[in-house]
Formats: sequence, C-alpha cells, structure tokens
Amino acid sequence: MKSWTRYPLLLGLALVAMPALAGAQGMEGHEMEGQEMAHEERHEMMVEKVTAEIEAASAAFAEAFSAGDAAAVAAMYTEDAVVLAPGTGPVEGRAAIEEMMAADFAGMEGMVMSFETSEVDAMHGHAIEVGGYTLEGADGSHIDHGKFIAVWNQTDDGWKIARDIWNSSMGD
Amino acid sequence: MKKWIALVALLAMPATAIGQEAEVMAADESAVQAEIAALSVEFAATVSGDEPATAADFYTDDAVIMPPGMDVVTGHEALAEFFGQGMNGATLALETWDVHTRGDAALETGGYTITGSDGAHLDHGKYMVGWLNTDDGWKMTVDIWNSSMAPPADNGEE
Repeated sequence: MKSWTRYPLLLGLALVAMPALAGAQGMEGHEMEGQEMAHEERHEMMVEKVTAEIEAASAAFAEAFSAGDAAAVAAMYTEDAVVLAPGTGPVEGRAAIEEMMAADFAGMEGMVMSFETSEVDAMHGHAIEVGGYTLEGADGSHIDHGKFIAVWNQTDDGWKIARDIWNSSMGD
Repeated sequence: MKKWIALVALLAMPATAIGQEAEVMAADESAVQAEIAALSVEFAATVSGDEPATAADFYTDDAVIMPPGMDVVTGHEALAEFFGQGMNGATLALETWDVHTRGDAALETGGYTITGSDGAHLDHGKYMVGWLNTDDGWKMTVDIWNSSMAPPADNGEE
C-alpha cells in the first residue's frame, strides 16, 4: 500500500477512470473494482428480493380475485391507483376500483384467477411487473387468458398496485 | 503539500460530476417527457401512413407488443408484420397523459383514438409503453393497450 502514496496524481486518475474501464472491458472480481462489484451484487440481490415480493403480492391478488372479494382486491391498490381495464375508461381511486371489481365479480362465482409473472423491473420502492393471467371456471374450463403490466409501489402496508392495464389474448 | 491537494481535488471530481449529473437529469425529465410525447405523435403518423417497417423501428429489437385479441408479438420482423396489417385508411392518434422517467428508462401512459377515413369514430382506448434510451435515441421496449369502448351487447363474458 506504500507505493501508491508516491503517485497521488496517478491514483486520482485511476479512480476516475476505473468505472469507465470496468464498463468497457467487463472485468469482474478484480480487486480494484471491489466497490463496483459490491454495488452490482447489491442491485442483483435487490432485484431478486423485489421480484419474489411482487410474485407473492400477485398471488395474494389472484386469491382475493378468485374469492370474489372486491374490498380485498381494491385494498391491493394504492389509494389513488388508476386501473386501465378493457371496455371502460380509466378508473381512479380505491372506492371506484372496488365498485368496478364488485360489478365484474357478479356472475363470476367460483371462477379461479391466476397470474404468471414474466418479468419484474425492480427499483427501490417501485416495480414494473409484466405478466399473464388465466381465468378458469369452477369446473376447470378455460374462460380467458391475457396479459398485463402492473406498476407496484412499496408502501407501509406492503406492495400496492399504483397502475395496471391488461387485455385478453383470446380472438373474437 | 501540493501533491496532496492535487489528489484531493482529483478524488473530489467524480462526486461533483455525479452531483451535477443528478441536477442535469432532474432538469432533463421534462425534456424527456416532451421528447417521448413527440415520438408518440411521430409513431402514430407512421402507423396511420401504413409504414410498417418504420413503425417497427420505433421499438428496440427485442421489444414486446401486447395487442388485444392475440398473443404477444416480439422481434423487428414480427412487429413489422403486425403493423403491416394496415389501417385501411383509418388514422391513429396518440395522446400522452404522463411519463415517469428513471435514468435510461421511462414509462408512458396515454390514450389513443382511431378515426375512419370518413371521419367516423372507430375506437378509443388507452396504453402503457415502456421506453429505453438507446444509442439510437428513445425506443419502445414494451407496449400494451386496450379499448375503452364497451364490448358488444351480445358478449356474455365480463
């Protein structure tokens, strides 16, 4: 460690150039890039953690939906969430969302909703989930399947959906 | 003493540069929103003008579009094919409602209207698009939309 003190100018330049070099050459596990590696690893761990949490939240949503519990489904959204559902204009706010869900659930008794997460773009406190849904009848018959994008926010009450949009993949 | 000052100055440089970069990024967010809104308008014109290959160029090579009534479509060729279905003289208009940016990524929400060549209102709905700032400018990476028009009365589902 003694030698670097003789060349402070070089050390300064190296510290500035390091991130650029690491990026260009894709070097990994090198001692001098310890800081950069730790940051990348922390980011990867965060993405994995958030993805798992979002998948769990999505599963809870599907359960509430299958149970026809409009209030529980609405509670999965933020207070000022916006739902971009097919067949109607944007619906904003938990109360309006609960009303919409309740109306949709009428005549859907026994149906089972399931989600499959394809991708989660995770950030600190926010996540964008891309996935698919399948809706089956009580007798296991296939009713509908489609895809969605959901924007999740981390709140004191766990992950909540701030905005979502979906459509069916079934032809007319 | 001189060489230590030089060292501290050099070590401080990256931190200052990052601080300045953050300021520039915040100021640029509205610029990004304006850019994306403008790109959306341009994109709508190419779709209306039945230019499928150009429309596909607004997306990254591995972009995924999620149209209603079919499975997702991905890849430049498949996207060009999708847009190649043509608009039959109808016009697509897009209106950006909001854009949330985070570094090189942005999420746009907006509304669309499709008007027939005779001026008749054919459809209106909403969309969400994920954008990425590439070497080639902002490109769409994911695109999903649905109609806001009530389904036909004889449709028992939903």
